[in-house]
Amino acid sequence: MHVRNRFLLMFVTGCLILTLAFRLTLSHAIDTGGVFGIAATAVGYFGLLFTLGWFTGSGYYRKTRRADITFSIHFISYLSFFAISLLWFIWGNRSDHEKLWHVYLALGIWSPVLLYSYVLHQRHKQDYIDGIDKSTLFE
Amino acid sequence: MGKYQELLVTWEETYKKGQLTLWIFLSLREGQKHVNEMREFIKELSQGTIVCDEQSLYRALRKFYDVSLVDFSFVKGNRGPDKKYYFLTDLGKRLLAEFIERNILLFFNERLIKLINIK
Repeated sequence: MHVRNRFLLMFVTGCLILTLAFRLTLSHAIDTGGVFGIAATAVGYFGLLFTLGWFTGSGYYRKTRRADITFSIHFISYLSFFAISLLWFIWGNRSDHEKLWHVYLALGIWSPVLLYSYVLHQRHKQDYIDGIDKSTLFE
Repeated sequence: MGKYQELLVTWEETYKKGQLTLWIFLSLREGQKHVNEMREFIKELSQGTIVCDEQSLYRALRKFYDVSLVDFSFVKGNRGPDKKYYFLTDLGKRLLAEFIERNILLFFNERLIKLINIK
């Protein structure tokens, strides 16, 4: 398997497990915990997902000297979060206090950030040829 | 070190940066080579002015491989493991030819040859 796909597969697996655990914990926290429990769950999820992305990206960079995986990691996180969140509603696992518009609100907040990171990724791509930094290619 | 020597060394250091690519490609233009053979080629034909270690060569070759300028094949050694022999791809050959035409052959201009030969 191509190195990039191997790292992405590792990230997808970790991301899906984390997101499922997050949904489970969040629904539970909404039902039983207060604001603190909900906030701790969200911060914990973000922290763990960020750490997983960081290790995946830096491991891939150490192996290949390429930095072309960052947007893919962000996009996978976005897709996993919303796919699992919607499935959570379809499967009927949501808390009684959760509403679908909460997911749409998160979508509304995250989408512009994703779009911004896509713009950065496109700008960044001009500095690379096949994922190799142009400024270091022939040095 | 005197000022003259310092100026010369500083200019040469700057001049040599980026030359490794040309030397690697020239060595591979001669035929496929193992990293040690490349190193010897560069040392000999640059008259010892360009000396590179194996790590620098591997690092450069890995980047060139990633952008499809070089490729490699394994050749069975007499003893020990198979050796990795690098060669230029068609893209690498084309790039080298064009680079030489645009940046090296201009020094073969008669006026420049005269200027270079002035002592």
